[in-house]
Amino acid sequence: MVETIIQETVEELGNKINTRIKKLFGRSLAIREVDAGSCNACEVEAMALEYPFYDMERFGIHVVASPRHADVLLITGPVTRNMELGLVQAYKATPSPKIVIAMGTCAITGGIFKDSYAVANGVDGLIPVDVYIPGCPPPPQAIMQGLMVALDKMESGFNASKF
Amino acid sequence: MSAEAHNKMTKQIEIFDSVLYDEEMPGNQGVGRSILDTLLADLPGDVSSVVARSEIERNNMMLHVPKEHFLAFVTALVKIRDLDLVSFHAVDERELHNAYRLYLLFSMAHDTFLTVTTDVDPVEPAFSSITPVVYTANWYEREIKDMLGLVPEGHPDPRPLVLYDTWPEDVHPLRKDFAWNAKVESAYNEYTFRRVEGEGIYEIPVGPVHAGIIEPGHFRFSVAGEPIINLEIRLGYVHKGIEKLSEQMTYDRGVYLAERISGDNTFAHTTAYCQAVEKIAGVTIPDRARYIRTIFLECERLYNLFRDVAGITLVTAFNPGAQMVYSMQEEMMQLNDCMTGSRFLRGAIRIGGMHKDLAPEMCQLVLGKLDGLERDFTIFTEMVTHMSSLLDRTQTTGVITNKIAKDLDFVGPVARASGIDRDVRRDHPYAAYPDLQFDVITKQDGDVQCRYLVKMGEIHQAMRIIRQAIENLPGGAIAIDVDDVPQGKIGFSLVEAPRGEIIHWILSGEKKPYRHKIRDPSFNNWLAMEQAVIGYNGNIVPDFPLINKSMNLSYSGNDL
Amino acid sequence: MIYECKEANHSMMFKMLRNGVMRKGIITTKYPRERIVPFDGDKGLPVVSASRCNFCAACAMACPTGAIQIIEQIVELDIGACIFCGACERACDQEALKMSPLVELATKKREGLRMRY
Repeated sequence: MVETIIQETVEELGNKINTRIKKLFGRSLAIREVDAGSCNACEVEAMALEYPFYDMERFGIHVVASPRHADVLLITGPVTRNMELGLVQAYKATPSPKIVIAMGTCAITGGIFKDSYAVANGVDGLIPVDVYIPGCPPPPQAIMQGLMVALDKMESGFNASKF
Repeated sequence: MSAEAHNKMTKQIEIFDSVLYDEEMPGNQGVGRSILDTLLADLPGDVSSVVARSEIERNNMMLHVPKEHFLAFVTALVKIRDLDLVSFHAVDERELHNAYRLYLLFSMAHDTFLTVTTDVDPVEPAFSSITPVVYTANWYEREIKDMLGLVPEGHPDPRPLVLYDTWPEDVHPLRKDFAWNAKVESAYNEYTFRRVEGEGIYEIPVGPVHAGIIEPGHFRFSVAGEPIINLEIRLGYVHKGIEKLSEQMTYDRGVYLAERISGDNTFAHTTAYCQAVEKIAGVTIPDRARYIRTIFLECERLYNLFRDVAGITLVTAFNPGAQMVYSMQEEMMQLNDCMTGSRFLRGAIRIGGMHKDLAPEMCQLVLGKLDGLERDFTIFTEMVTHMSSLLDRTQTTGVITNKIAKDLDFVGPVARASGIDRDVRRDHPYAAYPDLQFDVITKQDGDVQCRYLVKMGEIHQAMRIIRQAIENLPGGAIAIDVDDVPQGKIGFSLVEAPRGEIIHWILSGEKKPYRHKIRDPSFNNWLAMEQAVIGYNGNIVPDFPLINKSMNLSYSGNDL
Repeated sequence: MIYECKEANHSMMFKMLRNGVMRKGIITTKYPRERIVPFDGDKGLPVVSASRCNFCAACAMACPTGAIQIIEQIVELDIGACIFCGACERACDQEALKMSPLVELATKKREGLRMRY
C-alpha cells in the first residue's frame, strides 16, 4: 500500500514538472559554496554536479570564485565556532538580491553533531535561509531539485501531511 | 648480539610460542615476539632499569616509565630500533588514579607495537617535550596542550592548534569536568604567524573560504616575486568536537559518528572503529563478513583514487581527460549505491560484522563493471603518460625527499611516492588481506608525477584485490552479536584508507568509550604540504593548486 | 623518466573522441525531464504505514538524532534532523516503517520538513 501511494504521487509530480519545464529557464545562477564545517561528503556530491553525468551548466548554473560575484550562497556543515565569522562575512559580501540554500542535514539542525560545544546548530540562527535541502549527503539529483526550487521552476517535495 | 646467539634465542622463543601463547594473528609471530622480548635487553642498563612496569599482550608491549625519565627513555629507544610514531595522546584519568596519563604508541617491524606510558601530576600539569627527538610529535603535543592543558616544556612552537581566536585561554574540552554540550563564551586572542623579512618579500593570505567547492583552511605564503619562500598552514576551522561527542555515545551509535569523520573515507573509519571495539570484546567476526569488508574497502579506495587522478589532470588544464575519469568515479559511486543503497557505503557495517549481504548477481554486476572500467582507464593512462604538456607541469614539481618523508613520518601514497615502503595492508594485516595477493607500488623521486603514477598503479591493484575476494567469497553468516564490551580495556586498530593509515584507539568505559582517540592520515601529511612548496626547487605560486590536488588531504579528518 | 611524445597532440583529441562519445554515446542524464531512480534505492524518505504501527516508540528511541517523535497516535518525523541511517527501519518489529527511494525533498519553509503520518 505504501508503494502505490508513492507511485501515484510520482506520476502527478512528473506531469507537473513536464508542464512547467516547457517554459524556458530565463535566468542563470552563479553559486558560491561555503563550507562551514562539513565532513566533505556534501562537497563531493556538489562537485558531482559539474561532471558530464549531471551537468548543471546546461541550465546556466555555474560556480564562481568570490561571494561578490554570486547570486546564491550554498552552505554545508553545522556551523562550527571557528567558521562563524567567515560565514557571516561571506553573507555580507554577497550583493542583494541573494538566495541562501542550506544543504544537508548538518546545515539545517546540526545533524549527528548536534549540541556539541564547538557547533552552532545549523545556519538558521545566524542568517536567514530560503531553501532547505535535507539528506546526508543529498545525492546530486536532490541538489538539482533544490536549485530549481530556488529558481521557482519546480514544486517542493513530497509532503505526506496531505494524506 | 651475535647472529648465532640471536638465532638460538629466536628458536627457543618459537618453541615457547607454540606451547604457551595463544596466537590468532597471521604473519611472523615468532620473529615478532623475539623483537619484543629482546627490546629491554638491548637498551643500556641504566635506561632499562627505570621501567616501572612492563607487560606484553598479543603483539603489543606496554612499558610504564616515571615522568622524570621519559625523555631519556624515548631518546635511547629511538637509537636502537626503527620506530614509526603512530599516536601520542593523553587521557584524563584523574577519576581512576589521580593523574593524567600520556600514551605514546609506536609501530615496529613484523606486526608489533610498543606503547610507552607515563603519568603527569594534575597539580603541575607539564611534561618534557619529545619533539626535539621524535620530530613527528610536533602537532600531537600541540593538540595535547589545547585539549587537556598539559604543557610540553621545550616545544619549539607552542601555539594553539584548534582553539584559537575566539576561545578563552583556560578552556580544555577533553577534561572530564567539561560538559560535552557546554556553551563557551567568546574571548579575543592574538595568533602570530611566522614572518619572513627582507626586501621585496610580501605575504599572500589565502583565507578560509576558498574559490571552488572545497573545505576551509588558511594558507599564508611569503613570496619574493613568484618563488615561494615559506608557507604556513593554519587549520582547525572545521573542529566539531568529535572525540568529546563519542564519549557520550554508546558503541552502536558511535558507528554513525565514525561514518562522518571524513565523508569520503567513511568505510575505512568505521572499519577501524568496529575492529577496535571487537578487539576489546574479544570476538572474531565470521569469514564472510571479513571478505565483504575487504571488498567494500577496496571499492572505496577505487572511487577515491579515480577522483584524485581526475583532480590532478583537471588542474593541469587537461579538462576532457579529467571528465573521462570523473565519469568513472560516478560509475563507481552508482555501483556503491547498487550494493548498499548509499553512494558512500554508509549504513552497511555494524559492530560484529555487516548489515548488508552481497548477492551472487550483485557480484557478477561488480565484475562486469570492473572489466569495463579497467579497459577505459588503461586507454586513459596510455594517453596521459605520453602527453608532453602534462608531463612538463608534473615532473620535478613539489618534490618531497626521502629523508624528509622518513623524519616526519608521512603515510599513504604521498610517502610511497618518495620511496618509503609502508602499507598497513601488508605490514599489519586485518580483515581478509592475509589471504590475498597484491603488490605495494613505490616510486623514488617524490614529485607530482610519481604520486600520479603511484595512484594509477594502486587502482589496478585494488581491482585485482576485489576480483580475488569475490572469487574466494566464503559462505556463512555475516554478523555475530556483541552484547558485552568489558570495561577498562584498551583496543586499537589500524586500517589503510585511500589517503594513508588510520588509527582508532579506545579505552572502554561503562557501555561507552572513556577515551576515543582518532588519527586520520591527513594529520601527519599536512606538514608535507609545507615542505613540498618551497621555492628553491623551482616551485612558483601557480604550482600550489597542483601540489594541493596531488596530495588531496582531508581538512575534516585533521581537525576532528 | 621522460616519456617520448608518440603522436602529435591534435590527433590526441581525435583518439579521445573515438574512445569517448563515439563509442559510448551521450551519458548526460535528461533530468528533470526523466527522473533518476536509484537502483534498489533504500536510503530515502522513511515512510510509516499507519495501519501496521502500534506506537511502541522503538523507532524514536533508536534514532541517533531524535528526529522521530510520537505524539498521541501521530508519528512525527522531522526530515531536517534525519541522517538517513536506517536505524529506525531495523528497530521496528511490526515492519511498519520502511525507507523509500524518494530523495528529492527540498522545501522553502522549515515547516515543510516535518512529516506527520
